[in-house]
Amino acid sequence: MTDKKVYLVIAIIAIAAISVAAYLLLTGETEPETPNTIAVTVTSSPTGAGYVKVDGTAITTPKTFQWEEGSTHTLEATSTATWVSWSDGGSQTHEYTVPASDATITAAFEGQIKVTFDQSGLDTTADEAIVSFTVNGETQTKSYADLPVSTWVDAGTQVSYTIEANVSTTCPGAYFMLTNSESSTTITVDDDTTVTAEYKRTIIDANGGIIDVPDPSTIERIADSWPAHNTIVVMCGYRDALVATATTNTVNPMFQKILPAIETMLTPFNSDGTVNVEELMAENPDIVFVSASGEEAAAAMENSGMTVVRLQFYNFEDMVHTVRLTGWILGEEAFTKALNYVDYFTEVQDNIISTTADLTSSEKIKVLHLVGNSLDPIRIDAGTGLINTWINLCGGDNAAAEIDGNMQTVSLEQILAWNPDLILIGSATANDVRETILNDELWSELDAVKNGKVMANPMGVFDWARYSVEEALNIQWVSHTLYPDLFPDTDIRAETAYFYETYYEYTLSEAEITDILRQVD
Amino acid sequence: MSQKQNGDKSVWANPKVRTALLFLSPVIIFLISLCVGRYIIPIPTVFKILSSPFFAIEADWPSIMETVIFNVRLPRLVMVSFVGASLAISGASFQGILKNPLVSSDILGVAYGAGFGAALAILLFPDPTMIQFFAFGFGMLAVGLAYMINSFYKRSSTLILVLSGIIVGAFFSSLISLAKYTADPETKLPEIVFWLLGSFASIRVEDVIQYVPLMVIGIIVLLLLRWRINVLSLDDMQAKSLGLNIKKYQAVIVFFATLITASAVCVSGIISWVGLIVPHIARMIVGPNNSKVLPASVAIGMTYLLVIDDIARTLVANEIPIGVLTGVIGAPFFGYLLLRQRVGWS
Repeated sequence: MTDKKVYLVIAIIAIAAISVAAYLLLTGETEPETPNTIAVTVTSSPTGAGYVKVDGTAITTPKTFQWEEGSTHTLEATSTATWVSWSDGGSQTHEYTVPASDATITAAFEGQIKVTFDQSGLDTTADEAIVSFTVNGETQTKSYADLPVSTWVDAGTQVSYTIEANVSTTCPGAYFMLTNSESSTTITVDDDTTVTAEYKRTIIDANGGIIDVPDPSTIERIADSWPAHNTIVVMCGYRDALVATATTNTVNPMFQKILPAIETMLTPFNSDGTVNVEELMAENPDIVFVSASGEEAAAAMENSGMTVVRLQFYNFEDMVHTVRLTGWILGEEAFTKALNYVDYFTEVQDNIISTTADLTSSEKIKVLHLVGNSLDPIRIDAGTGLINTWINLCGGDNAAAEIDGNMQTVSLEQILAWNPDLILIGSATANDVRETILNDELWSELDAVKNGKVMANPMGVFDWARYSVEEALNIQWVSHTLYPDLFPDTDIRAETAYFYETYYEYTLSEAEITDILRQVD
Repeated sequence: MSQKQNGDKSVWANPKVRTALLFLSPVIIFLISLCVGRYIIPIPTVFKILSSPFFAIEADWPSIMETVIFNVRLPRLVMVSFVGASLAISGASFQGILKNPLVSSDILGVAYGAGFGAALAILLFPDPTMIQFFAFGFGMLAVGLAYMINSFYKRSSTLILVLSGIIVGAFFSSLISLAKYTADPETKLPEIVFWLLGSFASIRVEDVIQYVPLMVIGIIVLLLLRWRINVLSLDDMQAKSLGLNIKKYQAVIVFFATLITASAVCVSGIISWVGLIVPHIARMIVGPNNSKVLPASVAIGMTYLLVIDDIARTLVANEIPIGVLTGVIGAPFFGYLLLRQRVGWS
């Protein structure tokens, strides 16, 4: 062969190869291979969930798949049931190649009964194993996230199970209580059986009473006779559900701003601690919140078939508890809001405690808190209760620590004897009372008056001094007022705006912030 | 006086000593009361401060002590003295003219009338000056009503007057309940409750100027009429035979007794027991003659309420409501007196 011939052959081969490649490429692009889609129905005898896994995923039979012809899939007959055969003759777990035409493949089980455990009434706050069951000596324990769960047994098999009668939750004081007649038993199964653990929602109220509360999805109308607690309901996102409230809230200017309907809302709760039950019944509340001190009204409402929840707090630990419990009663979303608030409050509180911890007793400022609605008689908040709690928390000394209780009557002579460094005044009329004190000869002997340390305690949707969720703001205001050098970063105006935005979903104007802080020139 | 008492040889048996002690006691207790209080002031300092307006004494005490003595304790003690005296003498007067040892200074409904007036003013006006005005007006109105009901009866008797007072009292007491029921529990209700409970805790010089003159006038008039009360306490036939216009004197005495009781109620709310038991204590000491019982009641009423108020303001840091103490201390004390000696009445 000559060199020319060799080149020619190579050239022909190359042209042929390029042509073939070009042809292949062209046909590949213009006429892509359309895979043949085949409908394959995977079923079982008996049908249902948990018998078959396809490609590792449990399915409920029968189920139809659209598979490509010739592709392979793993079929598995679940081992808990006694498997007999696959209709294609494959082993219990085998590779299945999709045929050219639609097909049905069946896994046959023999003499098997499905036993399912399920629940109703629980939510994600359930914090315990719910059910444990024993089949053929093997025990399994399942919690909320695992349910429902099924197992397969031969007909006539004995299945023993225990359902938790009293499921604790991530909310202290809140429980799911089993309403089924039996929580622990052994059954002999002859047919498919579903055991449903039915729970109701239960809380332990401030008096230690066990109270059934309705399912959150059914709570659409709320009555709340405890003025401060109304702010918790608002914070939990349920302001529009309020149908009856306390008179105090209806006249509060800020409450009217964040919820205009409050102004004309029904106030069936009387000043003498009783309630106009019929008026309230007409509003048909799904739940009534009361403070634990309003027992007479609470009993009357319960007698009329209402769900009454008694709550109370005199310190921050119980306040946090009350906020969480209220959130839990109102459902998962409200509970999340409550937890967010509790996190915020706890962070604020811990920061103040750690900052004021090093104050020596001589550095501590002596604080007197006046009730402030009148000076005749003079009433002060003494050495117990929430006000005393926050005075101490913010590093102050309660001038009235030697006596107990809120709103105690004292003489001016006693106040002169205490001689506080700072006087804080509560109530809506605080600024008037402040004026009176600053211009009164008798009060002028006090160090607080001489140094101009007489201030109105802020008041927002509720008096900051007393009981409401705005305590989180109050302790920041008080600690900064007492020790501005220790809390240089506190910007109470910005913090107030943030709080209202975050927890009341209300955007405050600058004027409103001034009103709340009762800032005077 | 019993035979046993007459045989007593102690100094106390001497009527002159007894009378002297009786009328000195309010003065002594007043001075002691000035020295006690929640603000600790040494006793010599108290007297130095007291004499400082009259003598040139160098002020070696802080000015706050002066405020305590002159602006806090003094007005309060003056007020307490006159309230005690007013309640006691009006109680003694009512017991005399109504010929009933169980009636008290508010038997004709003055306290409940005043209470309702105050509650109404608290509900209607934001201005606290209207409270005293209304209280006083309604207190007098209540007694006027009782007197009117009484006059409907042709043969009006003291018993009818007492019953009229009870009717009017019950009526206004219900109205008070109604006022409390409609009051805002956070703002108005505590004010009403505190007014009704009464307190000397925030007495100021202005209060003394406002009320003490009325009380002094009432007390002086009643003291001047004490002989008439003696006559009115006889039965009506006997009194008429002495040529007295019973109705006229009765009305005058009721008016002034009511005037001072209403003033006392305006200052300190409803204080129970003082108007009932003080006249009895007076009778034990000076006998049943009203011309002696009335002045003795003034002295004992002052002393008694000063002592009670000392306890109310010093025992603990918070004020104990004085109306509670007069009952808690007064009732057992009265029982003790009853055991020692039969309560006199003739």
